[in-house]
Amino acid sequence: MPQFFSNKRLIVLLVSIILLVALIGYSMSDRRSLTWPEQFMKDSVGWVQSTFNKPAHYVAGLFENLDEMRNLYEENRILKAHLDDYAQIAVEVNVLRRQNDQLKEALDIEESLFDHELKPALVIHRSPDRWNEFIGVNKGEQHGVEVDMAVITSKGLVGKVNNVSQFTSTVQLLTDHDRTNRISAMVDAEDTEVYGFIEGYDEQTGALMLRKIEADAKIEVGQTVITSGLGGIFPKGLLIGEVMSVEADEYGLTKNAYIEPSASFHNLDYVLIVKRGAPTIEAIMLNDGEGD
Amino acid sequence: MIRCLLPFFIFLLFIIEGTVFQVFSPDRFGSEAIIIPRFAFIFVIVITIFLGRTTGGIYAIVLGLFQDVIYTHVLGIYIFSMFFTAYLLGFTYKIFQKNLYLLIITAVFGTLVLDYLVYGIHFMVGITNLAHEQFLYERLLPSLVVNSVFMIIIAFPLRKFLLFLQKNDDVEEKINKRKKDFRWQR
Repeated sequence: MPQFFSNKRLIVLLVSIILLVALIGYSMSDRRSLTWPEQFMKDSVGWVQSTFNKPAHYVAGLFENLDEMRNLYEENRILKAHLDDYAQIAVEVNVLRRQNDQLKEALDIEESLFDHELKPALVIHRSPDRWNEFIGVNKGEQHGVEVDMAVITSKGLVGKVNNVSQFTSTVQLLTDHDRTNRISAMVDAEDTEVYGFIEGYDEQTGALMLRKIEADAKIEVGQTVITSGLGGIFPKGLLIGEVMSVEADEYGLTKNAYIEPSASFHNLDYVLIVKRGAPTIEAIMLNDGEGD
Repeated sequence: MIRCLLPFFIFLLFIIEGTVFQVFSPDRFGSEAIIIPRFAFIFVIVITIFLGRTTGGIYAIVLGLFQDVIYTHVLGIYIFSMFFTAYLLGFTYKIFQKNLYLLIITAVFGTLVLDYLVYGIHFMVGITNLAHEQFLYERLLPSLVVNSVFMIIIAFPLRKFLLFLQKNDDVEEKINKRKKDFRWQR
């Protein structure tokens, strides 16, 4: 065997370690809009990935359909029972919506935090080592996707857009361990709204953590948690999940709640990217700046 | 021309790792275990053993770059780990080419080293705070089993193909040498 640590090799090893540290430092800093070579690579590979993933999703969907067929009868009965209620609720919603529109008109309110438009996207990849929880979708800057937009499935919120390139973008799921992965949320309590932040994911219970809830807030198990829209980027009212349990935090100043997410993070085929209707904070600030 | 098949296969496996494999991954069916496929990297290790450290190192760097840009978003982690692992295993040539079992063991050992390196760097940088025991039982051992199965399936045909390439190289070298000698003689 040749001598491993000859002088030349040692120097190469040291230089490469220094390069490693520099590269990691560069990419962990808050630059996070992609450079154009990265965008180019992601887009061209993304195109190949989407051609691979479409048939895969189709086959997986076939299996799931077979699985669903087994309890079709039971499900149908329950749904029929729900349908009777639905007609009544639909009428009620219509009346309320009309009333709301009239009142808004009377008060000259044009936009609310609820306004949003949806953009469907196909999931094209997921990082194979699950050190980060990122998925790629096949809609990018050219389709109007921007960084930090909310991403939902039909069942609820799953994450936010982490970075965009021209034709693809990367979504950071709520289960990612990044410290900056934080979403302003609120609990729909009896007659008030209780605010907090979705921060972190508990792997043992599979629950999201809702932190920084006021200590005297009254929260009960089973109440729904939705986005608050106060973060300035997400619209209000995207479903996140249900409260599983509540406890005081380690200092006793605030409360933490465990939230059972309503969306599944495991079988993501199609997602919806949410564009907020109300102006975001940055846009307002920019306009103010121009006005001065 | 036939040499272009190698990068093509590696790229194909790299794409499959992130797309088709993830659609049918075990956690979709409610399993705790996470399988990290290292199919493309197994290819790179075998290439390093057969075609030399320089060629293998280049393959490893390019594969690492792709992995970093497309999946990890932290540049450098995979470029370094893959190059380091492949280069290290490149020292074990000659005996390992002849014996199929040794080849399989080396490649699987390579995925083990790579996973530990990547885990270590992620832990050091602070992206993950997964305990070692959890890492061992939930990620390393399941993925080790799957990667070994893949390697056992692929080992024989891949070795055949690489030996064929090596032979091609030798023949070409001989022809070139003859030509040179011939010129010298004139």
